[in-house]
Amino acid sequence: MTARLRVAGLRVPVGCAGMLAVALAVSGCATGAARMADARAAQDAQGALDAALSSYETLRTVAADHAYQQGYLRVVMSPEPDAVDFTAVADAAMDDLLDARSRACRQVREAAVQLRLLCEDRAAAAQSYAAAVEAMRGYSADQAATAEFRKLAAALPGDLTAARQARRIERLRVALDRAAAELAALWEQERPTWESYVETVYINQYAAGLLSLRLANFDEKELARQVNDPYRLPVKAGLFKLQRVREAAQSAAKIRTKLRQTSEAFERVAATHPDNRE
Amino acid sequence: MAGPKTTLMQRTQAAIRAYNADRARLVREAAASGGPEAAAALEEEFQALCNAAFALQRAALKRNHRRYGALLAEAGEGVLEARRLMDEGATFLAVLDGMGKAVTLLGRALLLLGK
Repeated sequence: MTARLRVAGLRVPVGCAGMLAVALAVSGCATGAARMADARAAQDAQGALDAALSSYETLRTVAADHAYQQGYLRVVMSPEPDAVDFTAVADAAMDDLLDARSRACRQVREAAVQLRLLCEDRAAAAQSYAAAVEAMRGYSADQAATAEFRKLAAALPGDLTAARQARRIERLRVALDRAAAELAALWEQERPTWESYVETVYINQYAAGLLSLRLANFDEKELARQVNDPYRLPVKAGLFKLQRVREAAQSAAKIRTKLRQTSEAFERVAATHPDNRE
Repeated sequence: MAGPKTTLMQRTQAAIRAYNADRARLVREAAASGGPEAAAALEEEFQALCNAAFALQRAALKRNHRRYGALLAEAGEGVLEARRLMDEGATFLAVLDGMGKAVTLLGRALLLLGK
C-alpha cells in the first residue's frame, strides 16, 4: 500500500512529495561551496513559489472574465436585451481557496528568501534565521501544513547561537524542504482541477455558447462592418464567431501555459534535490 | 474507471455544452412560447447548472468525499437525462424541466459535500 501524506485535506503519495521536494542541501552552510549551493537552492525554491503565487493571482482574474462573458451571452441571447439582468450569472469566484493557497506559499517563500540571505550574508545570519523560523511557524499554523511539518516547525529553535549554528540551519533547511515539498505536491494534485476550471469558464460556458448564434442574432450592417473578409453575410457571421472563439481559446491557453510553467518550476527544484542529483 | 464525482462533473460539463450548442434556439423558442419570462427562467436554470459545475470544482479542491458515491451517481443520472433532452432537440419546456430536476439533485449532493 502506498504511503500518503495529507496536504490541505488531500491525500498525496509521499513518493510524489519526495520527487517534488525542494532542493536544499543538508550539510549546512559550513563551507563557501555549500553556502553557495544552499543559496542557489533556496533561490530556486523562491522561484517556484513565485511562479505558484503568480498562477494563483492569474486564476483570480478568471471569475471576472466569466462574469463579463456570461453577462455578454445573456444580453445577446435575450429577447429583451436592454432589460436583461446581466449580473444574474453563475459565481465562478474561488477567492477563499486562492487566498489560503497564496498565504501558505507566501510564508514558505519568505522562509526561502531568509535562508538565502542567511547563506549569502553571514553578518545578518541571526536576523535572517529568526525571520525564517517565524515564517516557518506561520506556515505551520496554516491548514495546508501537515502534522509532520508542524512537528518539524515546533522543534525549530528560535535563535541562532554561534555554538550550534550549522545544526540549527540544517534543521531549518529540512523544515523548509518539507514545507515546499508539501506545496509542490498540493499544486500537482490540484492542477487538473484548475485546468478544468479554466476550460469550463472560457470554452465550455462561453465559446460553446457563441457557436449557437445565428445570422438572425446579428445586426447585418454592423456585422458587415466588423468582418472585412469578402464573403456573404452568413459567412461573415461564422467568421465573427470564429474570431471571438479564438480570443477565448487564447485566453484559456495563456492561463494553462502559466499553470504548466509553475509545474516546471517545481520540477526544476525537485531535480536539484540532493536525493535526485546524479 | 472514473469515480462518481468525476462522472458527475463530466456529465454536468456535457449538459452545459449541449445547452450552449443550442442556446440561441432554446431561448428563442422559450420567448416565442412563454414570453421574456420563460426565456429568463430557462437562462436562470442554466446559470444554476453552471453554478453547480463551479461548486463541484470547489468541492474537489477542498477534499475527497468518498461517502457520497450513491448520491453523486443519482445526480449524475439526472444530469445525463437533461443532456439527453438537449441532444434530442426537445422543447424548451422539457429541457427546463430536465435541468430543474438535475439542478435539484446536484444541490442535494453539494449540500452533503459541504460546499
